[in-house]
Amino acid sequence: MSHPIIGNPNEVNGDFFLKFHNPKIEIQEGKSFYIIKPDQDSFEIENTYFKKLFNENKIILTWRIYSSKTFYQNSSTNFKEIRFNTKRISGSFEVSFCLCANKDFVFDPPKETVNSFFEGKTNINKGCILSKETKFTINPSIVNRGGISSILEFRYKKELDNEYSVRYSDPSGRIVVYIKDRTFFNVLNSLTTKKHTKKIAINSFFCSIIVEAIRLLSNDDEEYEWSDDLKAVIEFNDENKESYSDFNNALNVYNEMFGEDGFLKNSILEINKLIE
Amino acid sequence: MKKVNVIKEKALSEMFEFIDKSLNEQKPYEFIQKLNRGEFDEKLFTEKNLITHNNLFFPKFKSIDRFECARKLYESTSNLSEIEATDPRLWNFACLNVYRDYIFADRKVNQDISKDLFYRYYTYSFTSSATNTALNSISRLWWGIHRSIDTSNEKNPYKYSKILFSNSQIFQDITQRVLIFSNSSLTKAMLSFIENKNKKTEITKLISVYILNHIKSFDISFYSQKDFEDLIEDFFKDIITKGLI
Repeated sequence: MSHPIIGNPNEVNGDFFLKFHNPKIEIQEGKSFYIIKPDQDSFEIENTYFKKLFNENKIILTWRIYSSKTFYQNSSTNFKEIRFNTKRISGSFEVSFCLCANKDFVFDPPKETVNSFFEGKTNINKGCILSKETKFTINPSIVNRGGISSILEFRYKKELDNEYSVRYSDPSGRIVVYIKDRTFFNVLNSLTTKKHTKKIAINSFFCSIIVEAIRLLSNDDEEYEWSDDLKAVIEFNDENKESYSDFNNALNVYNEMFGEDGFLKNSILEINKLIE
Repeated sequence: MKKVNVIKEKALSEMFEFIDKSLNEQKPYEFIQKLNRGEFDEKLFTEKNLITHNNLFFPKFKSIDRFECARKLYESTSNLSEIEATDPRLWNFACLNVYRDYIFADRKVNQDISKDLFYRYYTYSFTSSATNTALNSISRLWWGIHRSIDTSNEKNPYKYSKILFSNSQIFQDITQRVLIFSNSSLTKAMLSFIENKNKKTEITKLISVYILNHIKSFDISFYSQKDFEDLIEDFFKDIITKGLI
């Protein structure tokens, strides 16, 4: 007999839930890595029998990432993070997860935990999927020091006429900000990799550049390779395309879409925390 | 040997416009002959249109043996990251400049070549995808090796690659099934299994269906190559028992 699938309300009473932390980028020895991790606190199994199976390690959470462009895939179980070089994935990538058997066991649900059709004993083999599979897409982060998956990157360049130069049509397909001052470049590099200063650094230095990039999305004459990724980040509305050219609107989109509860206000609050 | 170049984004877009316009004005075969004679090189591949990749070279292909060409290409460019190896700017340069003679011979291009086939043989679409990568005349060589190379086998790392390139039907059957080709262990297990079988295409087709059904019920993320080999053996026994082949 087949077994019931949690997540299908016709087969199992109660669902299961999981959220993932926002992906982090870490720089180590000049290389950047994505770190993807499920949020253990968000994990919940409503069905008592499935919860028991999970607690007894008979079923586990398995999850994987996959890039259809580069075929890169990686898997993990339960709440162990996946860490991989950002050079292995381009643009958005897919994350999927499900519950599956960690060993062979007999599935024998108490009455009323599953649809009566599935009551009785069923042999379950290791690897057998016992839940619906949930899939979602992770979009690239906005600023990166040099990882390919970013929309915007900054580079040190000694031979500049001015202190800064911004290229919206760089051959790399990203917006590239060139910085003449080595010390400034190093400090910015360090600030954008630290959790407590990343938002502040982005806001202080990249705000005007990102707002201008948002405004450029309304322009049909030029096409930019980074535009699809930026559109995904700001949940671009094609029907109101023209509205993005307005500076006030672009600034508000930037404020709302790059951080929870207002990016500008939160950056200031974080500066306040640092000096308290 | 030619340095590895990528065509700048803007130049690539102009190049596609030029090709499209040219193919509306002349037969694709005529265009290919001019391309092969280098008549468009000054217009399309000037230095200002290219970005050079340091220390990487496109090797000269001395024969049209696909495996040998693929191995040579991969060894000269194995430092390419996977992202770089899905870059339309790279593969379009490789196809339209470096390896156009190879493509002409490999694809047995003749006067009847259509516009569609020209695009399929000589260009890599503007956006990268698994399908484009597996179909393009040159990127498929690189990726064919990359997905089948066995780096743990120092003496014979190309054991599976040789099987993959041994027959164009096997190559097509494996590389154009994303389910198989996206999983390196499964690709190697399939290659190892079909190596000495007759009716390779029919077997690959049937086993793909079995695998597709299997992954609906089982998580294969942690399967080793050996697990896949055992699984394929079981599927094959079932195929024989049911008289499907």
